[in-house]
Amino acid sequence: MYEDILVPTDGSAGASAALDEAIDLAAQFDATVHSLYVVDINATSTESGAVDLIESFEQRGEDVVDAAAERASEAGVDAVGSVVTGKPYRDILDYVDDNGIDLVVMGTHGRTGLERYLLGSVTEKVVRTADVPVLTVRAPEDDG
Amino acid sequence: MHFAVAIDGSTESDRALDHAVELASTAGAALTAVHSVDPDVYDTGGAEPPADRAAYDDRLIVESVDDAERRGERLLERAVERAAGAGVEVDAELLYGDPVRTLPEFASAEGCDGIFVGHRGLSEAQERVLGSVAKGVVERSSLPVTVVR
Repeated sequence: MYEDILVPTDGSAGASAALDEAIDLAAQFDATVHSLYVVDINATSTESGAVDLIESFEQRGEDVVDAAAERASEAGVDAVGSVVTGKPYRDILDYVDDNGIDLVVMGTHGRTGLERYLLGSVTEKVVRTADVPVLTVRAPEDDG
Repeated sequence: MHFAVAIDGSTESDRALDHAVELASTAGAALTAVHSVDPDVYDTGGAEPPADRAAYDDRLIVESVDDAERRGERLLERAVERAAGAGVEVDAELLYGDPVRTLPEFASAEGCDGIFVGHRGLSEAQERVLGSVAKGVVERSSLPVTVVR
């Protein structure tokens, strides 16, 4: 029932938990895991040096999606990775449409105190606006 | 594997149920259909907001707990029929209170592997006013939650 599973990633613990869940599901359904790293253009300034900054984020993105593909292939799961530069939730939704994604898996923050209410703005927007099911996975709580 | 699916009678919850049934039947998992009895206030309609207190009383109906219970039981029966019809092992559980709190608590206590919940797809502004059970469950659940539109 799942053929193409998307895991938007930023290299965080939440994204890593989401990747594990996606790999498990992909193994079960013989699906392909797509990892997508979006370099947030809004988080970088337009001052001089921005180009270098974007390039360094893109390099980090490549490292993160390569590591994701490696984890997937260790589990015997097909994986592809992409790095794009733009607006995270918009690019995630575009990727879903363009690649026939049938499930998005995303991480959420811890459940204690204030953090419980801070869903993460990208995850929140994707949950609210994606046309395909979104599976949210809690990051392990390790910060007490 | 064992999944909980939130049932509230909406089209979105039907879709969440269909999705959970499909996954459960492929993965050989069991399902529990869950409804939380949380009596609603209904507006019987009208284009203009009620003008005064008397108009409010005419238009707003507070559902009694008995009615809400019966409605929940009916919805759960339908959900169980639908899942059982697809050959999935299924049972039902009626909870009491705000689903945002009761659903994650129940699913964790039952040792479920995940929760399925429908989502209406409201705008940010609508959601600020109406709230979203899906979002609340995502925020509170320590289990994976699949939100289905």
